This record gives sequence, C-alpha cells and structure tokens, in this order.
Amino acid sequence: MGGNPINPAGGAAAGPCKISADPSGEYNFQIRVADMPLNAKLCGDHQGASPPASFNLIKVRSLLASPPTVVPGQPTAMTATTFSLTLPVGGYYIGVVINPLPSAAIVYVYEDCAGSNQLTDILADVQQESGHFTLRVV
Amino acid sequence: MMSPRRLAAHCSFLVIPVPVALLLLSALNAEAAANYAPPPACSEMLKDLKAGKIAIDDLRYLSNSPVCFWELALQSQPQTLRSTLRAEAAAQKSAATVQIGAPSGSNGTTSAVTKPNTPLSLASEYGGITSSTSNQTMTLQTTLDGIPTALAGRGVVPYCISPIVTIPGCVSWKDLQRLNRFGVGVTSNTTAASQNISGTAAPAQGSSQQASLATAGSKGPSLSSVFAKATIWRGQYKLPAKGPEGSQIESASFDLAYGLKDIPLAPTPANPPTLMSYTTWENYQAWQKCMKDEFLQRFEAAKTDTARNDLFVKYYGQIVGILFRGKGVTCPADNVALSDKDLIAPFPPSDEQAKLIKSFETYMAATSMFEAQLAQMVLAAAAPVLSFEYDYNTPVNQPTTSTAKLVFSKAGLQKRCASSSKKTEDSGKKPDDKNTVDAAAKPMATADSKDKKPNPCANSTDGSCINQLTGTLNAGGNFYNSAPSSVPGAGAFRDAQVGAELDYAVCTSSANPIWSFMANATFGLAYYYQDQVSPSILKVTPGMSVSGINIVGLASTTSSVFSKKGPINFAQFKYGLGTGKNVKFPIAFSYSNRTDLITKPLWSAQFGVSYDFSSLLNSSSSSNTSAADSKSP
Repeated sequence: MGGNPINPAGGAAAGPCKISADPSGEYNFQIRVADMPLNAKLCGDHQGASPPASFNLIKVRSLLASPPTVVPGQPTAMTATTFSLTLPVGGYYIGVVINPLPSAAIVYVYEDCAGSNQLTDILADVQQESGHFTLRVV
Repeated sequence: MMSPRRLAAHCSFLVIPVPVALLLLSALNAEAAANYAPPPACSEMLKDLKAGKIAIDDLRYLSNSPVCFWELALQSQPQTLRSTLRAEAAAQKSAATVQIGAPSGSNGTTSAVTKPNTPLSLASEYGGITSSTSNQTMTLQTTLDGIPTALAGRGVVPYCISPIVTIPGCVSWKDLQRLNRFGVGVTSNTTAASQNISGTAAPAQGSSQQASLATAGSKGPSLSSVFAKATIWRGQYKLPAKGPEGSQIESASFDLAYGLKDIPLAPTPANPPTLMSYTTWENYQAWQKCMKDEFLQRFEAAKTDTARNDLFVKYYGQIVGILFRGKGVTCPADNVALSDKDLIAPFPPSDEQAKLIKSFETYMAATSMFEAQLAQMVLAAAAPVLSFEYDYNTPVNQPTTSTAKLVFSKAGLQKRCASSSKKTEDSGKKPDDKNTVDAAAKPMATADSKDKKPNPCANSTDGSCINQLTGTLNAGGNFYNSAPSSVPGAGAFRDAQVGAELDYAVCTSSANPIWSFMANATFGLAYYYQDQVSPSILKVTPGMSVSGINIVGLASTTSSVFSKKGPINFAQFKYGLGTGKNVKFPIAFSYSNRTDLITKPLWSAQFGVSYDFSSLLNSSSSSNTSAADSKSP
C-alpha cells in the first residue's frame, strides 16, 4: 500500500519531503535517519482536503525482530490529524487506525511536507478503519 | 366440540405455509441469480479503483482488502453461517416482543395482551382472560420463515452465502426476513371443564343405580382459535455509536499482513508464512503479479460495469482456489470462474487454512462489522414493531367470532446478563499494548472515552443480552361471524378492546446454579379493557346441561343464553421464567371486574409452558464457533 507520490497541496509552512520509494522494493518507503522526524498528516482526498476523521491509534513495529516487536515511545507527537515518528535505523511497519467516520469515505495519510507523498489510505467506505505502510530507515 | 378430523384440517393450515414459503423463495432467487455482482465491499473497491481513489495494491494484497475477501470467500464458512442464524434464534428467545402462547382472545391463554412477533413454538397453557371457564390449550405457531430458517441452520436447505455464484434452491437472509413478517398459529382446547355424557340408567338397586354411559361429545381436542399475523411496520434499530477498539483492529491488521507476508521479510521454503504453505505463497505471489499486470490493464480497458464485474470474478476470484483448493493461477483468466463448489464444498481446512480463516475473522470481529451485523439482528427485537393480527375464535359453546387488532411493541434498555461481558470487552487487549502510542495518544483517548460509552450489548450475538423494558399496546374489535338475530340488543360487533403491557426483564442467570438453570425472568403488568357492545352468547342444547356451566331455570326450549353486557376491566401480574431459553414458564395472577358471562369480580390464575423450536438451529457439531469466540485471537 502507499508509494504513490501524489502531490496534494502541502502546508505553506511545511518543509521539504524526506521519504522516497525504497529502491529495493522491499519496503514501501525509505528515509534517512538524519531526516527524522517523519511528519504525517491525515487528508480527506488527494488534494489535501480536511479529513472527515481523526487518528485513533498509531503503532510502530520493528520488522527486524522475529516476530516483529512494538517500538515503544512512538509516535513522538500526535494530534487528531497529524503524527510524528523518530526512528533509528531499521525496518518498520507503521499501523494506522482512524476513529469511525460519520459516513462512508476514504481517507489518506500523507507525509506532511511541501510536496507530500501518500503513505497509505484507509478504506473506511468498506469498513476498514486501518491502514499501514512499511518504512526502511537508513 | 370439533371432531378430530376437522381439527386435522385446521392444523394443516400450519403445514401449507412451508411449501408456499419454499416456492416464494425459489421465485425470489431465480430473479437474484440472473444478475451477478461482486459482494458489497468488493463492489465498492472496484468503484474506487475505477475512480482512481485507490491503487491496485489495495486489491491485490489481501491484508489491504480483508473485508472484500471475507465477503467473497469466508461467509461460506459453516461457523459464520451458523452464527448468523443463531443470532436470530437468540433474538427470538430473549425478546419480550414475542408471543409465547395463544393470542389474548383465545380460551385458555395466559396473555392479556398479544405480542407482535411470532415464534416457532409449541405452548401448553391453562387459564383464560375474559372467558368464564378456564381451559387448557395447546398452541402451535410459526412465522413463514420459521421452518426454512431451521432447515438452513441445520444445512438441510442451502443458504445463499455468495452473491456471485448460484447455489440451487438456496434461501437468502433477505428472503427469510420477508417471510418473517408473516406468522400463523392454531390453538386447540386439550381439556374442557366437563364433557357432555349421555347414557341409560338401569333399574334402581336401593340407593344405588347402574347406568350405561356413552360419551356424547368428542374426547379429542377441539379448535379454540386460528390466527394469522402480519408485520405492517418494523422500525429500524439504530446501532449504538460504538467505535471499534483501535488496538484490536491494528493487531488484527498486522497479523494478517505479517501472516500473508504482505510486508517485507520474504519467506523461504524453510521459513514459510504463518498463514499458508510456501507453495501456496508462491501461487499467491503469482496471483498478485497477475492482478497488477493483467487484471488492471483489462479492468481499465473495460467499458461496462458488467465487464468489470466479470473480470473481478475471473481474476480476483481465483484467490479462493489458490488458498483453499491448492490451485494455481490462470493468467490470462478467460475461462476461469468461481463455482459454488469452490465456495461451499465442505473441506477439512489445514492448520494454515484454519489460521488464515481465523485471522480474517478476527479482523472482521475487530472492525465490529460482522459483529455489528449480527448484533443488529439480535437487537432488532428492540426496534418498534406494528403488526396486524386476525383471530378466528371458536370458544366452547359460544358462536364463532373474529378478532382484528393492531399490535404495537417497543423494547429497550439493553443489559448483558451473562458474566462473559468482561471477557469480551477485554479480549482485544494484549500485553504489548501498554508500551505503544497509547501513552502519547492519551489526551485523544481521554477525549474519545468521554464521547463513547461502550454498550456491552453492541456486539452481543450469544443471547446473553436482554431488553429490560418492553411495552406493548393492543387495540382491536371482536365480531360475531354471523350476526345473532335471536338475541335482543346483539349485533355483529361484539366488543372493542384495548390492552397494554409493560414487561421488565431481570438477569438471574449468574446468581447461583439454580437460577442459572432457570435463566432470566420477566415480570409483566398488563391491563386489558373490553367494552362489550353486544352481549356474550352461550349456545345451549335444549334439555341438556351446558358444559362446565349450570344455569338454573332455563326453559326447555332455550337455545341461546345471553349475559348482561358491560365493560370488562382486567389486570394481570405475570411472571415469565426462562427468558433467553428454549423453555419458558409463564405464570400469571389476574383480577377482573367480570368475565364475558359472569358479572361478578373474580380472581384467577393462568400458567403455561412453551417450547421455542429455534433450538433446532443449534448444531451439535464441535466446530460450532460463535462470532464472539472469533474475537479471541
């Protein structure tokens, strides 16, 4: 899921984008550890509309452990529509759950940057209130 | 008295609806089978894909489309099917909107007020509300869907579990719901207060005299009433605004993605995925590639929804065979389509398949979707119902009458009685949850908890939830089937009647083992008012005594006795044991200012026992897994 570099209107104060597609194709995205934190936001569409939903839960798992383990202390910051991650080098699974929507809709999670990248989508229109993406930190 | 032969004819009234119902189902299904469409979630995803709202990855990774996959492939699982039908049975047993025995106008009933819903049940009662003599009656009643539902629950009749394949002769949930709006029943007198016996006396021997007696009346049961009920309006039950538990969803979602290897860490033959064999995973990979390379191309080129639906069945549908039948991928997929055998043929799932099914069902349970659907059925008993009922009454020694009445009922104030609630509520929490984002998200979680009051019955499918308060109203009229011309002041309209009942259900099942056996109980207060416009009439045979009634001074030519008309005020306190169980024991004590014939106040008692045949839906199979069970990973 994710990996579609669609560019909704980024916030005026947002900085440059930090993630890129993982060159190995194994993970959805790659980010350098020096570029942390990774900031993400919830959008109502690809054009950056306000979302009709809010985050319920963000959980990060390290995929380098077998079985994968939950990374404590993440996200480092979280509001109803944004969250930030600060992760060391490794491979991660980021699970995202939203609160129920008043009506059927799809919401998108984008990197919060000048030219955003879509991280994942959440198909609440078919009762799937969760989404995820994988991230390699190098 | 009615002869057994005539009674048998009346009883066949109950048998007729079964083939009629099956015929109706066949007609309904013939229409549905002609037009295939993907299941709802899949259909929505295809629309989103066409509109560019989602990417093909959302469809080709099963962990991204669990609801679609579940709708397509896993609703056919026997435990899922049984969960659905059991939910309905649980609703019937727990609802105070269901008529336990004979309708209120019948002789020998325990009910002063008729309830709008009809169960598939057999009841034996002793009592009577306005009748001057108490009778014992037996009532057999059912909704038109009662027997087809029971047969589907046992697997005797196929249940329509897939919208995209034809299952010959199957019954669908929608069809059953349509038939559920109609109920029929028959009540017969199983004993009368006395029988008419005639005989010849031998010459007296002192103070003794021998007589040869012969039964003049019938010893068999006589018809008391036949009734039919139709639901005119059924209110929509609104699900509580309970959001799903975030950590449960996230865990279930991760387990799926990890088990299917939809995330990095490619498996090896020595280290296969947890939810499938390595060979199956290779086929799954090939299927994903086919979905991306070929399905998407054809899908985008397709001109019509029909063509897109066809592509979905041929390409996406192959995943069922890959995961459950050991099939490979056919890409291009020109001649591949799902068959009912792919979906419903019984198979013993391998360990991996069982885990796969469990993982998807855990996800569905976590999202509250399937649970919510079941709970909606269970709690639909709380929705307001308006029914029309027609009773054909044949009271003993009285002219036949017809009663037409409107019945309204509304239940509410849900409560979970079983002690399993805590287990259900806590089942989604795992030890690792405490060191996750919850700490960071605490302010949000706190805000959420203010808005959300988890309803312990929101996901109840096990019959442990009851509606504590149920109110029922009746209003109707009673008519003589032929106007009694020989009785002064009598017309065809016999009486107007209104009734109200308030039931309060209490949980007793967890108190101790004895109460646990007896289950939950219902206390009811009922008031019934009857305004007699025409007097009650008693038919007598000149020169013979009336069964159960001695009237002094009747002329030898009298064939009709009528009483002084007047209003009847009837109040009843009722205790119903067995709420939520198959067997119920209603006991009632009543006071009325008069009865139909007796113009003096009197106290009376009514009691009965009824057996709810919804237990026929229970399977003895050990693989019978409830939806609630599936919540525990």
